[in-house]
Amino acid sequence: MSNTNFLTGLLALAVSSLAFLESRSFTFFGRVFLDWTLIVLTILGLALLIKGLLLREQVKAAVVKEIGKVWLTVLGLFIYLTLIPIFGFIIASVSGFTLSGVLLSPGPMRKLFSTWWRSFEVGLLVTFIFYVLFKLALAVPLPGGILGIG
Amino acid sequence: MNENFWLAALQIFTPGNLFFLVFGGIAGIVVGCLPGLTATMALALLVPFTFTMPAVTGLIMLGGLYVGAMFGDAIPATLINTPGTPSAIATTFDGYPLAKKGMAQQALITNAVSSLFGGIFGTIALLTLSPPLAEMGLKFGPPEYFWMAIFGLTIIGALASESILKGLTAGALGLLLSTVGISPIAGDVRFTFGAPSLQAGVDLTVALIGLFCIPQVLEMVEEGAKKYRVIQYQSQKGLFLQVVNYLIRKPFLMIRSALIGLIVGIMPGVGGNVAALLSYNEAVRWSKNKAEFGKGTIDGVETANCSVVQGSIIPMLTLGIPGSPAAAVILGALLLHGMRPGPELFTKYGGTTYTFILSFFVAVVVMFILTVLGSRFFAKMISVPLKHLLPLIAFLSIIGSYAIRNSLLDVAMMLLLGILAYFMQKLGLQSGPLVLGLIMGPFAEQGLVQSLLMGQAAGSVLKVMFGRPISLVLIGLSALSIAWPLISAWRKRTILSEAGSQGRLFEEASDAAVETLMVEGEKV
Amino acid sequence: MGWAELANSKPDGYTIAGNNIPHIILQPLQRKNAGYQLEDLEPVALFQATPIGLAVLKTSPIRSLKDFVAYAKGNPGAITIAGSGTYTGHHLGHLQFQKLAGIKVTYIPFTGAAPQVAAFLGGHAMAILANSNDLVQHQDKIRILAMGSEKRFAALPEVPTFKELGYQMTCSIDRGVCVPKGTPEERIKILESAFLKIARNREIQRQMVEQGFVPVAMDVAASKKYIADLTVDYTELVKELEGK
Repeated sequence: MSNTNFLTGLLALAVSSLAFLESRSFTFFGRVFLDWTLIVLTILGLALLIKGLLLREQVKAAVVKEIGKVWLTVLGLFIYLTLIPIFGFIIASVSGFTLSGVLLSPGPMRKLFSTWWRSFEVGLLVTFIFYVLFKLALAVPLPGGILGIG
Repeated sequence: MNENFWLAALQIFTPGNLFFLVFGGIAGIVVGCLPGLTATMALALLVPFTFTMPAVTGLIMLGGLYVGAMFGDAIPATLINTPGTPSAIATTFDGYPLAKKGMAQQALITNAVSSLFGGIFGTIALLTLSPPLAEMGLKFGPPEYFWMAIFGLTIIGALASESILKGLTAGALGLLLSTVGISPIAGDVRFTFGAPSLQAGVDLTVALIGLFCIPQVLEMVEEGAKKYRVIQYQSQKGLFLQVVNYLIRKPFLMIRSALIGLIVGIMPGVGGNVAALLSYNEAVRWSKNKAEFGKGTIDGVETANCSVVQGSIIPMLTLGIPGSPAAAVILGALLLHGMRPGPELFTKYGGTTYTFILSFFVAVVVMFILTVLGSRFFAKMISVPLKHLLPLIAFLSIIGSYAIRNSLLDVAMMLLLGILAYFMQKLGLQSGPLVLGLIMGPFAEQGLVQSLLMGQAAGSVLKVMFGRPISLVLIGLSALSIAWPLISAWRKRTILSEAGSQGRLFEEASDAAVETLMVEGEKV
Repeated sequence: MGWAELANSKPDGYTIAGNNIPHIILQPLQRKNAGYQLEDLEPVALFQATPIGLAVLKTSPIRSLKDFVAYAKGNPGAITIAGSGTYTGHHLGHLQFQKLAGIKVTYIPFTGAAPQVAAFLGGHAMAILANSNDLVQHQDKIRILAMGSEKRFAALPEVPTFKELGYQMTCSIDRGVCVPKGTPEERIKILESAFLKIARNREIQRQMVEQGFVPVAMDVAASKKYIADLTVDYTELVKELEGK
């Protein structure tokens, strides 16, 4: 039953019911469009569910290879996000590029100084370009963090 | 054409005006190039600067920026599958696959050429047809807007490459997502889970970046360097002429897209993103080789995003009703200089207005030259090693989504949506239809509720919703949109089964052969 | 949303926001989770008033406010009025007039002045409650039945006010500047004199009138009183109407 159709149908129905429950407190006009959308979503969900049950052999579930790497990346992005208000945009970005440049290099290269240096350079360059672009040219304030550099 | 006309035209070429035209244009291309920065945003940032300039110069600069953004947004759309501004959504459908096949430069050139065409087409329309066209836009009332949104959603039939059911589901989820925030008519606060910043709803650009960019990044991580460097970019001469040759043979494609862009642009409030999607839909529908769309065919890159610019300016100048958010900002600039939309613009301020309109011709040509020359350079960018490219894209997404509302919360939302989108893609739910639902949701909802109110007043909801000529046309088109793919799929199946199982093998073999030929062709 | 942000921001005198009356009064009245209370915002100055007027297209059979009321009485709910938003100046104007004239009309909210005017001009709504600047801009295509100002509106001198025609109501949107509560007094004074200087500038006033606005120059004290008075009125009005 790890069939993409089935799973999608299940997802659709789940979302639909949750939204339906939340919407009981809305006024008529706040709810009318939502209700119609939920009806459509429910019908689609059921259709997918049925299709999933009937065509079981043909559609396999999507396989996520290397899910470890994916979660690592996600974690990395969130860490970067949380570091920005703490260390400020500049420091967080330069470190971010350096680290990711190194981590994404093939294993043996990671210990080389040149890998680290290269990634650091890229980090500096990109951060500098965007700092200029946003802060000076477009006057978009960038978070300074606790240290106030940004 | 009296002498005033030519005088106005000459005005464009004063050093001051030319400088700001090019400046605005380049700024536009840069802004268009960066996902997260929209034309509207950049325009808003520049309006205060026009205060010290003569009205003409300010308007020319803003016009240049708007045009530049429409040219520039195809660049990231093609290279990293992220629309540079919402108008480039449709460009990602075929532009990115083309880039993956090593044909990035062709895609970029196509975009430049079609934008040039669209821009000129639109400017001619702006010049000659302003008043009657603007009147037509007014005929679209709430029921028409509702059915237009529905029609837009039926594009899902074209987009959902895997299964129409999943495509529609993604669209419905998008519609649901669009209801987050304050209900447009009744004012209920929906689905904000106590977070006041969600009251404004999910910002479209944040969602765009999250839904298109992040899954790409995660996929790259998953697949590793191999998949994304297979097809090396190789510089080719004569590409430009090749592309132009190809496109000139399809005049209907170009004209139709430009026309759609113009019409959608005229409609108040609706802008480039809708136009691009609609014209993509039509391109698919009228093409003879539908199966290629979505996998990288030049036809798909042709979008209407450029004539939207002029289209949205039409009602703005004649009626003071902007056809798109960007046009609204330009309207602000007009008012800043004490010029009021309406007949006055074409009589008392005629010189300025005509110079502004005519400057679009120049802007479009200049942008065209710049992007064509730059296409070689831009297409090379895809050869940047993955370990730098990946963080760069992630970085751009984060900074871009931050820049919209100065909110780290937006960035978090963007990441969340991105991760969800990544897993949904694994299930077969594509981001395209979802984004469509997100965009069309507010139009559909407002249209529905307003029409219900109108129906209440008139005594019959059915008459209001189904009894108006334009609505009926739109309803018919929507039904066609859904029926067509089903019918052609059924027909294809019938033909194949007649040819026997050999038919299917043949199709697969010929697909493979074509792919090989294309790769071989690159090495020549 | 903007006002919620302002209320929560640092009162250092550098963070200011545009003030929009009646919106800032009505929003917290209508929603419990608007994110701010009216007292969290300190007005600095008001510099522009936009009276709201009721209009129909020149091609409409309705020729005066009296006709309008008569038609509405005969066909309750049949007249559609295009307005901008819910719980805004337009919406309230519609509610007030409904009550005072004893009629029932259907208010259709749009998401802004541009769509509202477009729908009206396109014939999708029979009447409109529009801002004075929009009315002035399109005056050759429309017939304005009444204006919601205290006295006759300078740019449209032949149009009677609601009050003149016997309906005790005013209806307008006023714009100004405000700061978060707690901003130091000296900073407020600086901002106040800066904005008042602009508001009293003849050239600016002339431009405002040309575009269909009413220039106003209310300082901190006057703005406070004005808002306080309106709040009393509106609170009552909203209570009445919600109780219905």
